[in-house]
Amino acid sequence: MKRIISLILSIILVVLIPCTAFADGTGEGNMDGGGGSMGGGTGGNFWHEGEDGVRVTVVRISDNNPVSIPIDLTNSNENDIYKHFGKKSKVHYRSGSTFMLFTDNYTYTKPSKALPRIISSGGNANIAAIKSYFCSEETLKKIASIIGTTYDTLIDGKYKLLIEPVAYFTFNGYKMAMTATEAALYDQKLSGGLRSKMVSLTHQNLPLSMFLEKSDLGYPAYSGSTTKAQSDTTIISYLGLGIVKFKEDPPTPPPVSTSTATYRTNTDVITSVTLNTDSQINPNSPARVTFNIGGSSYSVTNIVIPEGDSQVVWVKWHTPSTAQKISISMSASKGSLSASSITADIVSLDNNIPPDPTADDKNDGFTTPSLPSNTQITSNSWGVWSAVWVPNWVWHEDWHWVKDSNSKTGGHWKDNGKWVDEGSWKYTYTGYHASLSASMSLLPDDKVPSAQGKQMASGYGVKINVSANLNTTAPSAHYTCAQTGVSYFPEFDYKTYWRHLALTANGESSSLAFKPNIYSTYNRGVHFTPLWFPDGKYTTYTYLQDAWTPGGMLSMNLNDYVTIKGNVYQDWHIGPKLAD
Amino acid sequence: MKKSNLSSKAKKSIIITGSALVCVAVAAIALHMGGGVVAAAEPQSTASSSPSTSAVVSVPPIEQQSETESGTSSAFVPSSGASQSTELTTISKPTSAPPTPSAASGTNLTDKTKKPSYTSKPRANKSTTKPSITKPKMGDKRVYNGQKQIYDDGFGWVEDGGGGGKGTTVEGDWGGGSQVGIMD
Repeated sequence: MKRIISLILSIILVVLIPCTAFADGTGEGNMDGGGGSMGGGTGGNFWHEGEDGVRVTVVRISDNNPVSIPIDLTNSNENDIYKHFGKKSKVHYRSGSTFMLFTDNYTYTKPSKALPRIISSGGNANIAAIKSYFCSEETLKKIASIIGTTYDTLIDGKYKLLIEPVAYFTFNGYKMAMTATEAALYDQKLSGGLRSKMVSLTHQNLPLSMFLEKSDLGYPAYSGSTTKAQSDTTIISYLGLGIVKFKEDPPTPPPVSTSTATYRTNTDVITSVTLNTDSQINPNSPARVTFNIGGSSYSVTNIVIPEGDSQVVWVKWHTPSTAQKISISMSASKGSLSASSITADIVSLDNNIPPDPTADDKNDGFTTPSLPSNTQITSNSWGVWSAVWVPNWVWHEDWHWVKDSNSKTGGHWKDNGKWVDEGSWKYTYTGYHASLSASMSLLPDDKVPSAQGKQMASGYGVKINVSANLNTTAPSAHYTCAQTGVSYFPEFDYKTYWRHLALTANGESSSLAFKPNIYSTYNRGVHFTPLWFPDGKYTTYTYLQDAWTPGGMLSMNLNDYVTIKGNVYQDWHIGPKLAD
Repeated sequence: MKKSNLSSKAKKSIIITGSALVCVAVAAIALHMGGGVVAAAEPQSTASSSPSTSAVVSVPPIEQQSETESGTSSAFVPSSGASQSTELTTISKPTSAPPTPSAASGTNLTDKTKKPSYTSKPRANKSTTKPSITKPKMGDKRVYNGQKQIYDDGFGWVEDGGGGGKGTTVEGDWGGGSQVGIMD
């Protein structure tokens, strides 16, 4: 009988012990990669131990844009995912893709040979196995096949693979799938609601399972803590990604120190710094950050941040009209800043103007150079934490006997108690997004007598118009529209000489054009094409920049062309007229 | 025609009065309309009486490019000793306490030997301290315009597809072969 009871109890125990690790409650505690506890909690919020995977996206190196629909790889059977965010990568979100919630059709691929463990406690402990798996020929062949390309194309050196860790867990009773970046974006949407329940997984072990040791694809290397939970902004900027490349990157100059910034003269810019805190900074004692810029001070007050999070703090300021170096120091009344000083290099672009073109100029060996491609960031995001008080009035009674000689009982009881507000601060994250759109038009100058549409003879001038627009719902103190355009020309191999465009309209939208040309008889805002330029496309390249938000500078590569046919002499040739 | 019987004095008076009225009227009209009418009319009459030359020579106007100053008024302009401050958020905390609770009826407040106590803890009337808002909870479901929806605190009401997933097993020697990629 005892044996039967023992057997029944054993079966009950086996059935009752679920293969899950809870992560609710205090929101703290560390995840055990081996399947240990993630802290106490309730059944509504837990990680399904070992259920992880990766999202793989092919990214084109030339412009850092994704060129494949991301695929999710996992060893688990994930047929019960209730909520997910579709198939978008970290690069998609950086490029401005909308963050959306889906409640059906989560699709994934299950390799027949298991992936190595992706998410483990203590950061990227399993990174060697992960590297070996995703750098292997057979894995790459399978990935190429799934995304619909050839293995040879995938590894020809024009693309890189972006690998992002994916976690599968139950949140508020619903099973979800998300990358580290999506976890941070979702937490921002919930104003910290995910972090408060799943911090060990979503804000520590998931994002720290992969990060870059060298900057790549526009993402910086991460050298911060690998043993504590990270803020949403740190995750979005630095964590939850690995990159597989197929040829060594060309040697690049040493990365610019984060304590150095380059700005243009006479321009509105935004200098940002991140304030981090381990404990909450609430409105009872908000933080203040002060920027000291060349002897002047600008303070940002009333900064509030929930526990373990961060807030970007910025100053929008106008640079001087002359080139110089300015020291900017930052200090905070509480919390810790991501930087305490910045050396701002204020540069002037009003030099290296193309020389006066002459009739004797020649370039017989000219071949059309390829267009340059500078760093292009067309959208970014940031946000502001705020806090509202949620009152919870509690009556603290305090009875006293009040003597009264006129009373039969000699007095009465009186409660001198008081209401005490034992409420708490509720934090809300208001997210902002900005995207830069712009167009460029290159046309023959109005003074060109023989111009036909975009066609003109060489030797005449071209005019330019750049229109830029910053799409954002943020207050105007949060941004500037694009203010700087620099145009480069094919006859100078898109180097050496340039024209710093004049800002002709500024606001949410801006317009830029050539400044008056000192060699123009009519003082026109033109660039003169060289007389020797061969018939065909004459393409001008413009780098548009200085659209600032607290999330950084937005910039864009632009180009347009006119078609050269003949030259200016053919319009003005004087000679004897043939007899009829 | 019948001859008028007015005296010459009366005729004189009528002429003087009439002339005066006409003068006043003319003066009033002139003052009312001012010189603008004349000025406006001049080009029109000139244009109509002179031959047009615009059809012969077309000179496109030379656009004067005006350069806008970079910067907006909201940007801080550092100058020696300048100081400025701005608030990132607006902070407010309601401080009005609820009204003092009264002891429940029947409570004996006159027995010195027995300290009174509340049978139930006094509670603040939430409607006076915090407006009660009927907000859906995470996971609430409804049918809206014939569509099943589920509420998410971050996204609001979204279409409820009921969840699910579809996996495809891909056979192969995953992780095998030579190391082709580079992962720093």
